[in-house]
Amino acid sequence: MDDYRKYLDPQTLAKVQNLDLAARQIVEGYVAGAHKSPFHGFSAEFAQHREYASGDDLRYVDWKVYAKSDRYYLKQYEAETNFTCYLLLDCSESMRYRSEGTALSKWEYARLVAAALAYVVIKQQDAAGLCTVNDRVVDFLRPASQPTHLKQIYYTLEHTEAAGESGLGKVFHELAERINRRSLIIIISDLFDDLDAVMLGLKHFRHRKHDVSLLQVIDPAEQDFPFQEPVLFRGLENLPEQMAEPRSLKKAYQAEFEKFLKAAQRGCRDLNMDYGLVRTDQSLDMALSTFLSHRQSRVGF
Amino acid sequence: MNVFFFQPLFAFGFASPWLLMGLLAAGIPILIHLLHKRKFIETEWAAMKFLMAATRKYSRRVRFEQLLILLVRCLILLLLAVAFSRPYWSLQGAFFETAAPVHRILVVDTSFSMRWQGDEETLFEEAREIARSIVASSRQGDAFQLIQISSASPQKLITRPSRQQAYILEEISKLQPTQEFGNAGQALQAALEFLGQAQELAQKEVIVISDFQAESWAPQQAEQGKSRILSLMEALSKKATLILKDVGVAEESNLAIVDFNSKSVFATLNQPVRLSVTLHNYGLLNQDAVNLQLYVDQQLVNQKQVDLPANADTQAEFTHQFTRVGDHRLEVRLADDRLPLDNHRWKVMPVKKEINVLLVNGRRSTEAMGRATDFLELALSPSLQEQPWQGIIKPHVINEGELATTELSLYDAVVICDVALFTDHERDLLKRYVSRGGGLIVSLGEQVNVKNYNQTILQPEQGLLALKLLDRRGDARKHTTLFEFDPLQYQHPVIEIFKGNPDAGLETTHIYEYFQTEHPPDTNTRPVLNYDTNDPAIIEGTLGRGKVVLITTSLDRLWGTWAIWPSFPPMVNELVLYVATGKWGSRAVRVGQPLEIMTRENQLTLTPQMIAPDQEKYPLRSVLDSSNESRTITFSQTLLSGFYELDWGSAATENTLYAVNVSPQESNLTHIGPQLIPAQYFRRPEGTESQQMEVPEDRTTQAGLAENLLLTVLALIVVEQLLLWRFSAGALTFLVVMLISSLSLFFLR
Repeated sequence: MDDYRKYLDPQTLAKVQNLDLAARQIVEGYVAGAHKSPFHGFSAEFAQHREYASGDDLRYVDWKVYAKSDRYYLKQYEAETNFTCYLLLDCSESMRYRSEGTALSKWEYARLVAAALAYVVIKQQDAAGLCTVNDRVVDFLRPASQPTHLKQIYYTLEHTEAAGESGLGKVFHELAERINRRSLIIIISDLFDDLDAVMLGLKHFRHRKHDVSLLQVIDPAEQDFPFQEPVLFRGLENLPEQMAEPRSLKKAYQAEFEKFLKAAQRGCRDLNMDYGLVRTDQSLDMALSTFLSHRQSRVGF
Repeated sequence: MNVFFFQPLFAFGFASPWLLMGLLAAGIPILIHLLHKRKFIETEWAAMKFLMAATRKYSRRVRFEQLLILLVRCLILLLLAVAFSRPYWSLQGAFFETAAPVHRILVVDTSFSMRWQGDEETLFEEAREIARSIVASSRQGDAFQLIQISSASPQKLITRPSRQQAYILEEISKLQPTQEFGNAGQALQAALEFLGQAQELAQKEVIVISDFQAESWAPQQAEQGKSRILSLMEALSKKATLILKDVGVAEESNLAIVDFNSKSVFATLNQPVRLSVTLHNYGLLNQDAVNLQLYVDQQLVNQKQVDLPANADTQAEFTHQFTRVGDHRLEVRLADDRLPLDNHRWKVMPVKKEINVLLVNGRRSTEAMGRATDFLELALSPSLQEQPWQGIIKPHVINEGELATTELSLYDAVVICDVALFTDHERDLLKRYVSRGGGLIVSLGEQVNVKNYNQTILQPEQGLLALKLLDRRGDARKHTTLFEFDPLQYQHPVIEIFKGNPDAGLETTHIYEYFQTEHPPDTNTRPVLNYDTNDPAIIEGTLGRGKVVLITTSLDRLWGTWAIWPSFPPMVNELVLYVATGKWGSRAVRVGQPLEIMTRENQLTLTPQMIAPDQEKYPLRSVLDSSNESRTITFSQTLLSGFYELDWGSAATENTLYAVNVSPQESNLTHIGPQLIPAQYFRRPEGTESQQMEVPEDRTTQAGLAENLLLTVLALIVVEQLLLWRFSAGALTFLVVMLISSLSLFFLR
């Protein structure tokens, strides 16, 4: 293993109490790993003209260019340089789950990923906002690019507990209406919700022209179902108890779960969204690379 | 020959049923299953909806899978336990698996009715041959026990189940017909006890070979005995296959002497004795002019032709006069028939020269006829100087003080007359004398101390007679009241001679005074003669083997005219002879019953031996030693009919004879028939014997049920693994295994 990787290992990061430190460790570790930051294309100096398209706001038409070339171009660089990113975290109770032998719960893992991303964005002088949701919006930090805002994001993340039932679909609709400015919306969730409703919510985001990326975090036990002895499963989010014989149920369960994952992936693909799947036993850079490599390919957006 | 065979149409059993305990092991998987369910861990779970969906979708299938696996596991253990228990089954008498050995109990009738001679052999020989063939055709592993239907001889001959054919055949060859009656109930009870043995052999048979003679199998006189035999047969058929093999005859004709008796137990020299013989024709046809012979000391002395009507008793009489003192062998013979044993009957007749009677005088007197015993002595032995008395009764008079020093056992009877008092020692002497067969007559009188009598010889518990003397009645001095005798319809044998003979003067005898008596209830005393006041004049009681008679008045002239009345001599003679019979009372018994022999003090040093009819000698010395106290020898080996001679081993003492006769119970050959035993015991018609005996030899080598089950178990173990690996493949294999197993069981037949 490369040296930097040890800083991205969930086992190591679990020991780091300070989220700021952890986020920095992740990013620096990640950068040291010869990866190119996917956010370079969104720097403040970047500017371009774009041909007018039907529906564009006439206020941004560059009349000087029109005078010279008789063509309608929009002055877009001023606005584009103000890149905003919303980190949308699912903090429902299901995110609290941490299987035996795993260092981080899904929530803790998601929190680290969010912190790292916020760090990257704000370091680039872009604005990062935070939104934690379950069946409602729990916290909403408007995007800002000041370093102090990063502190606020960390504070909020540190003081939010995974609790409550999830109702992502409804919340996504609400947020889609609330976020007016086209933004990059990074959703981190286990998606343990009504997938159809979630997809409708995501569709709403897309409809509002947001760039949406989805990072699905799952616990390894949820995928591997490693139980041998009979287990009494106590459902989170007010779901009932269930006594089960894991050995005989394993295949059936895994089939159901894989079906769900595939449905989520397919849904994202259909909506032309980035989709990444991470397990909490995976290294953080895996999560970031899975996610950011997609971003890089879409830098031209 | 009729064969009654009771066997279920379908039989299933286990050669080693105790191994069925292993069936409990089938509960182990269920227990594990239950325990497994209770042991679980708890965890929170986020992906609950997928789990619930999976459970919903697959729970039915999972449950089915689990149940099938559980079923296979239970089946493995169940079949294993059953296989180790070596199961077998049979259908309609043909055994599918003949490897299972059988516990057979042979019950062979050896009672004397089995001596009935057929055209070729006796019933017993036929029965023994059947028993032998059953054993000879048995298979290896079969166990046998042997019981004979007898009464005195031991019934249980092979008490432990034996698998040694040679030994069993030898025991059967040793079987001999007895002269006893058959106690069928006892033999069946023994068979029932035997069924509890050889628990490892589940298949059990009780085979009864008998002539099923009605008297033994359904005693008509004892309804309880009959129902006992039926209930025993019922109990046997519940625990085993009961097979009744009847070797009885269809035509039951038999003549028998059922009784040979005489009124007097001993005879006297030159006095004619009447001997009565009871004969019975058990056939359906009258038998005329049958020759009946009387032998005395093995010499034919008399014979007559008698007509024997069918199914009835016939009486015949002989009169004989003995000319020699001692025991005589009397035998009556009927012409032999097919069952000759009951055509003979034996009797011992002791002939006495004299009867010694001790007269104890309680009242001394110098006057002629003044003593209390004088009239009695005269009546018993009326000797005159010029003409000595030739009678057999020899009285000997002593005074009351001499009683304690006299050897009483030398006397056949003791008569006590007007003795005032008895000491306890005298009471004990008299008591011992009477209980050993002596006769005692106590007459009362003026001297009698009532209080002493009631405290010694009439004491309620230790006395000789259970009654109490009360006050005197009447007055002998004033003759105020006259009492006469009431003969009580002449029922008592002593009084019987006066019947129709009023000249003897019994009822005209005058008594002036007597003692009244009080009789406690439930005693063994009975009045011989009463007064007209309804008070008893003569009372009889028994003590041990002897008799005690109390005369409530005096035997002289003081209290009445009886001593000079014509009724007196015959009365006292009869009384003395009557009480003196105790010593001869048991000279005849039935086969199997014990002979009780009384010994005298001077015989204790002898070495007696009993010579049986077959000349076998049985020393009695040890018996004598062990019963020194009572001086009674009990001889039980009376298994043959005929004369038994007791040789005292001393020239001074004459041999004593005893007669042993067969029980007339066995002479009646009437067959019991199905009307007396319920129909269910006669399920098998004739001819089943051959089926039973002819079990095909080649079947013994067939692969058994157990092997088949073990193979199935092996296959199921594989099936279980398959089910765990690929359920569908396992389930299919399970069906195939079950099918093959069922087919192989079917073809195993």
